[in-house]
Amino acid sequence: MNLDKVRARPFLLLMISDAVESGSLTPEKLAQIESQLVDMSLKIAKSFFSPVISHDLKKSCSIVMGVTTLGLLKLCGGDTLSARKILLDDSVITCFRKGWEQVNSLFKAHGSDADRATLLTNYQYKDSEHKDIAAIHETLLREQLDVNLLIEIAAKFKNPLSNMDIYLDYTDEISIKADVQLSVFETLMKRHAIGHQDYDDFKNLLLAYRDKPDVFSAEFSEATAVILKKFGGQISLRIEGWFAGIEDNFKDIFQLFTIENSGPEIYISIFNEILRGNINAKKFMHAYESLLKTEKQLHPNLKEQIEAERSFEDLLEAEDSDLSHEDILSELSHNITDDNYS
Amino acid sequence: MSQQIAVLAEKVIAITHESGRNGGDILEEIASSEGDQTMIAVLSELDIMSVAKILREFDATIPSIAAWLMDPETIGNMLDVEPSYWEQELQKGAFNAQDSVKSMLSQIFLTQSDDEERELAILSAIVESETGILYLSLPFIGLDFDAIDHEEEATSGSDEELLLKIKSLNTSIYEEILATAERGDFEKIEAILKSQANNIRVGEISNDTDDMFEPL
Repeated sequence: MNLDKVRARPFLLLMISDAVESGSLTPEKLAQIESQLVDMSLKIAKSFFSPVISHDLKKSCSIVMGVTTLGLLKLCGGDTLSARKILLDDSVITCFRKGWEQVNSLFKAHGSDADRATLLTNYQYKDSEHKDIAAIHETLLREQLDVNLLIEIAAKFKNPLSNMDIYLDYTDEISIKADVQLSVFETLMKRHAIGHQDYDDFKNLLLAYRDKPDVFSAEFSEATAVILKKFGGQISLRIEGWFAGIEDNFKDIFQLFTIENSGPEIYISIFNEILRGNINAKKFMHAYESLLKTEKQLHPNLKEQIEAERSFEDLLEAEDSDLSHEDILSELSHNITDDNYS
Repeated sequence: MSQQIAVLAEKVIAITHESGRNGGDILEEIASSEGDQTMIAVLSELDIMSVAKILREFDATIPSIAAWLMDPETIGNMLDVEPSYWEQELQKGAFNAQDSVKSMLSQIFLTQSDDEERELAILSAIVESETGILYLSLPFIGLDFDAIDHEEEATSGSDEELLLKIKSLNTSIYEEILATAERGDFEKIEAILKSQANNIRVGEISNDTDDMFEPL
């Protein structure tokens, strides 16, 4: 069991008070440590927060406590003897600098636009509590690196058929997984040389997959192996775990489609299922046009989206030929009364 | 300093700590009951952060008596540290540093009976500071300078009124403000003023912690 946990104080303070009790830390050295901690807190306050707000000052003190403790733990590896030696022979500034290296790695993971002041608040450590500050740091860093990895995966699997990435904050694992699933499916289509408008072949392939799950499974593992090989490294490690779920999801989807429907209808339905309804309507116009008359009502949303796309394009064209911005503005300004009567 | 002044100053500081507005009201009370001289004596005993906190609570419509009676040098020093308070309001939201500076400057330059000599002394004290021109320019970033009518009297309370007042006091400072405001980036200037104020506030920190952010 760890000392700092039992005594509910930061490791740094425990090491200092033990050294004071044993007499190895002189009052002079203690005063120096205190003044350096105060100075560093003021510098944190003025660089990241405000030195006139008392809660900002308190926050800065606890950040210095957290970062310095983190650094000391890193330097001594949890060994109390070596920790005491560092405090006596070196300084708390060295501890802080070691801790700041860790903080910097988190800053870096978040990119240059990140709000560093907000990130720093994660390192607050009050003098009368116990926290596993090293584990907190590791978690923060790991989570952010995973977010970065997901963003990278999302970029690699970006697909024009999918509308999943229209959301600015595109790190939602479910959406990215859907794009990966889409990529697997396109690999399977390619394997059978089925293009995006070969609706009848498409339908036959699905029937075959539905009726022979073993064949599908075998082809699925080959397709995913190709994808894993293509990306390699961390990306492969991260997406590998998704494939079992994706395979099951495919099998569910194959049970869902209505065999009586036309190739184009099945084509739309399948992609709609894979992408959880977030298909890019533009890319499905051809299939929609090829639907049987009675099937069109099965996809009212798609119809609306296609119509919206069209009217938007009409608008763009109209803008080119019509009045320019300036013309419209000057037209409008005729109707505004001149109230500049000073 | 007499005992009376010390006691009063301590009282004003304690009240200002709670509310800058109440601090200003107390100063006003002192001026009306004990006379302007006593108030000025008390004012000179206050720390600069308290003075700044008081003045920030007032503006051109309700100016603080302190703004009228403070000596130019103190006003210059006070404006140097005033940006330290911005962060607090930014955190609360709905705060704009441009409006805040404008309200401070209007209170100082637009509410007193025209004592140009004093106003010029204040203006000179402000530009003495390294960041004085930046402070004076901040309210005018984004203003359409070409649209200013230099002949007509500006609308009361407008940006133009304040700018033209400064121009009437000292044209070369006015030119500097113009150049800075036209070229300047609002966020950068805001950050410089804040950091300068924070440095003054924190004062001389021993420099043996200067390398704290350096990699080990």
